[in-house]
This record gives sequence, structure tokens and C-alpha cells, in this order.
Amino acid sequence: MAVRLSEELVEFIESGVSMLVGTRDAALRPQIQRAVGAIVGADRESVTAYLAKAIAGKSVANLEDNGCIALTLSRPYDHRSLQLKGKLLGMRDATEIERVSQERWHAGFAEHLYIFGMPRSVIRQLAVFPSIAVTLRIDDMFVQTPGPGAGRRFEAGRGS
Amino acid sequence: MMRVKPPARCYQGVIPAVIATCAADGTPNATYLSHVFALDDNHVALSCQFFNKTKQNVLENPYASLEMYDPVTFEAYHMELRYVRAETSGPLFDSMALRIEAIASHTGMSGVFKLLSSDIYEVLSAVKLDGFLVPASIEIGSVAEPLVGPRSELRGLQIVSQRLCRIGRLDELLSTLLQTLEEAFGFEHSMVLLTDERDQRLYTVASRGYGEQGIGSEVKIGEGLIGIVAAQRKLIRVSGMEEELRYGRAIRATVNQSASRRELRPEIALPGLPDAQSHMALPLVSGVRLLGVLAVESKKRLGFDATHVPYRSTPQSVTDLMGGHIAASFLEAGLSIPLIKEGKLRALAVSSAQRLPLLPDVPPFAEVSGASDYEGVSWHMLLVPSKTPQPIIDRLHAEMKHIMQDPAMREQIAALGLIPYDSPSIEDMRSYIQSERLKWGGMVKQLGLEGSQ
Repeated sequence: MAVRLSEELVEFIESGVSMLVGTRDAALRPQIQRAVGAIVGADRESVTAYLAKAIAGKSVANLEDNGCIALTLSRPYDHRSLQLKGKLLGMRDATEIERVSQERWHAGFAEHLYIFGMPRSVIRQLAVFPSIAVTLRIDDMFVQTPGPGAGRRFEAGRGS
Repeated sequence: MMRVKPPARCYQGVIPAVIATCAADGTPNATYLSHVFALDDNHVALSCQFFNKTKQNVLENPYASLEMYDPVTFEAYHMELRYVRAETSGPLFDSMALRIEAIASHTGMSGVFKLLSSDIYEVLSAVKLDGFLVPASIEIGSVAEPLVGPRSELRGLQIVSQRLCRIGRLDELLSTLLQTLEEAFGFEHSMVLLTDERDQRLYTVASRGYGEQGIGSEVKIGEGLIGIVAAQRKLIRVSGMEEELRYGRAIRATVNQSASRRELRPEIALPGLPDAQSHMALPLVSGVRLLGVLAVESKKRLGFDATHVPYRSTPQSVTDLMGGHIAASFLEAGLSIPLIKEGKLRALAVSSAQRLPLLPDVPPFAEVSGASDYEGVSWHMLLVPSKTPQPIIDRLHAEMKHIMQDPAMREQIAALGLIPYDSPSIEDMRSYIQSERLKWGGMVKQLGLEGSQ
């Protein structure tokens, strides 16, 4: 049973928030990596996250091995955070068209961090493209905003 | 694999570190960390404030993947970790707990979050993540863009200390300090005054942004904003002097008055800007000895308040006001009246257009500030859903009007520090709401506060 995202969450995910991808290898050794952009599928039950190719080797190998993936999204100014857990649906090189949406994310992300004093010129250096597009099916969704409620299953918006 | 040591500043929590762990069933988990503590070359400690998924996972499967960032260059460092143990006492735990308690108390959350344990991890590998950034021509440590927000303060501080530590002469030290404060924090008008203990005065020894007139001016300790800062050895910041808000001049005048009204001479030889909107002055203290005062001014509203930190509740702002952490505050009347009566707080003005029944001696801002139309009040109205039938609305209105005329009711309301009001007509209330929306909505837009609390 896949989880369907609400319109509001789609907007949140695509708003330039900070993004992490967690994967693991066959021996259950985890790997952390930042994602550089994400778009929600038309069915709102899948998300495509982009991983900068230059540093994606370990994550890609892990996904090829077992497809287990966690995608955490967090808005820097209020730490509102969400973690999606799921399985890999597909993985390929991102296209030039997707690059445009990644660049939009990059600009939004830079604005988020600029508020906290990170100069845009520094954030602009983040490697974004070429990238690997990783599509996952959302099986579960958890509140990750820091506090006692962190880790709670996100109930709203559960689809059939 | 070569072991790389991330620079110490990566551990300051300026940019949150991130971590992935994996449950025994193979489900990965990715999350942000508030702080990573460097223990030695082979160990780091993470704070455990809540028994979260990360902790649960490492108890099942001790491996973790951590990435941390250089807050200046944004370079990434990647570490493979293995969970070793949790400490719930001892010096490490105490120092981590203190830091967390400070954050908790600062955000009004003492007791809500606290350190459960210091979790110690062995560092299996550490590398700088090549390819995380695309090299660009950026001069590290330069201040190419104006910095805003709390994180910029750390960066700014770092730049200030970097520049100052290379200087060997006092005059150069002072001028570099003021120049760097302008570049890093945008303090365009600043001065350093040093103490002459014999005659209880402060003399300006360096200034920036005032032309030549700044040098040589003096301030008596205990007199004026700077003098008070010197006497009390506490930072004072007065800001929010937005002319459009019309709060500015009033606060500035009244704060200066409240500071030491009797001793205040008509003219103090102070090289201040005639149209300053914000002031800040901090004592320069070494041990118990006062060395001087660093004072800055700005023509900008919120000149020293780029980081808007609203108080969650009146009690917190009252505490900080009484503790001398803030110089002045807008407070709810109900809660502050008892403290005013006890002499713990001093009321300068009320924000309503008329005096409060319980504070008949305190003038409205409109009277003392020269902004005769100033009014900033909260109001209470009885509202019903828009589809409520007219007869019911009329009945409710008539009843409320009646209730509001009852002397017992008026007394109760006044006792809360509110102003009892004869209910106006429904039409008048509607247009009042409209006018308040226009007034405050316009201000929120103008100040760019949309979406903030």
C-alpha cells in the first residue's frame, strides 16, 4: 500500500527544502547523502530525488543492491521535517529538462540558507548536475520535526 | 582510507550535521543532528535528547554514516561510525547537558527537552567529500554579501577575530574592529569609548561613520544610554524605531528619560546620529573591571535586530526585562500592572489611545510621542459564523451591549488590565475590523513580515 502525498506536502517537498537520502548495503551499513532537488510524481505516491553524480557512487550501489531508501526533507527556518521511506522504482541519469527543476530547487535552497547567513555564492557552489534521478515509491511517512513527536507516523493523507 | 580531520568549526552546529542509520530489518533512516562533539581523533559524541529512530537503530545495528559541513566554505566531511556506548553521567555528559539546557531554556523549553545520554561513536573512517562542491572563485573569509540572521553572527564573529588577532597596535586594533564590524555586521556608525576611572567618564577613542566629530567626545558614567551601559555593565539594545510605526522616537525619548531622568542634562556631548532608529551599546569588561563601551547606531529600523526573536509569552519577556536582558518591552497590561505597582517595572506609556483605568498616571503613546494617531491594541469581540440568522445576531448584540454596561462586568474587565468598552453597533465593529486589517496588514507587508509569527 503506497502513501499518497497531500497537495500541501507536494508543495513542501518542492519548495527548495534541505534533503537527505539514506540507503544501506547488503551488510546493513548505512550511507547518508544529500539530495539536490526532488519532484513528486503525478500520482503523488512516488518522488524522484536527484543525487549529484560525482558523490553518488555508494548510494547508487546500495540502491542497486536492495532498493531500500529513506528521503528526509527539512525546511531550515522552522525545522519542519518529514521522512519518506520506500523502495526504489527506478534510477537513471537526470535529463536536461530535470536540470531546470533542480536549478529551481537550488535557488530556493540558497534562499532558505541565506536567511541564516550562508552567502548565496557559497550555496551556489553545491554540485547539482549531472545527477542521478532516483524514483522511490512512498511506503511510509514519518514526522521528523525535532521534538518528542519526531519519528511519529504521518497519518494524514494516507491513500489507498 | 586516509583519515581526515574536519576543521573544528564543523562541530559548532552552525550547519546541522546529518546521519543515516539502518534498522535490523534493513530500513534506512536519515536525519539531522543538532550537535556533534569531537572527543578525540577516533571518537565523536552525539546528543540523545529523545529516544528516536537513530538511537533505536544503533542499538540494533551499530553502524552510522555521518556527514558534517564547514559553516564557512560548506565543504562536506563524511564519516563512518560505530556506536560504542551511552554515557549518562560524567564530565562529557555534564558539558553536553549544560549546552542543551542553555538552548532549551533560551527557547522557553526547559524540561521539554534535555539530554538523555551522550552517545559515543568510534570513527571508522573520515574523508573530505570531493565533488560535493563545484569549485568557484570565492575568497574564503571575504564578506562579499551582506550577512543576515543568527548564523551570520558566528561567521561575522569569526571574521572579526581573524582580523583582530593579527594586530599589534591599539589604534589599528580599534579602527580595524570598527571597520570589520561594518563589513561583517553592517554597523555603519560605531564608536569605542574607554573609561577614565578617576573622573568617572568615558572618552571616545575611535569612531566610524560620524566624520571627525566623533573623536574626543565624552560621556559621564551613568548618564545617557552609553553611560548607563557603563554603569550597569549590561548590554542595551533599543531598536524597532521604525518611523512609520511611530514607536521609535517615543521609545528612544522615554528610555533616555527612564535611564536617569534627574541627572540627564539637556545636552550630552554625544556624537549620536540625529536620526538614529536603533541603538546598541555593550560594556567592554575584563574580569570585574570596566574598560569601556562599544556603541553602535543605525538609521535603519531594526538596525540591530535582523534576527527577529519574538517572545512566546508575556511572562518570559517580563523575566528578561526584570533581569536586565532587554531594555524595554511592550507587555500585556494585566500581567505587568502588579509589577509596576510593586516598582519592579516602570511603565513609560500605554499603547492604547486612552489611559488604562488601573494606570491613570501612565500616558498614552499618542500623547507623549507626538504621533497623535498612534494606537496599538488588542481587542475582544464576540463573533459568530457568517451564516447565523440576523435575529440571533441582533439578540446576541443586544445582550452583550447590556452585559457590557453592567458595572460589575466593567470592573472585572478593568481588573484584567483591559479597557471596558460600550459595544458599538455591528456596522461600526465591522468597519473597525476592516480598518485594523488595513493598518496592520499593510504594516506586515511593508516590513516583509508575512509568514512570520
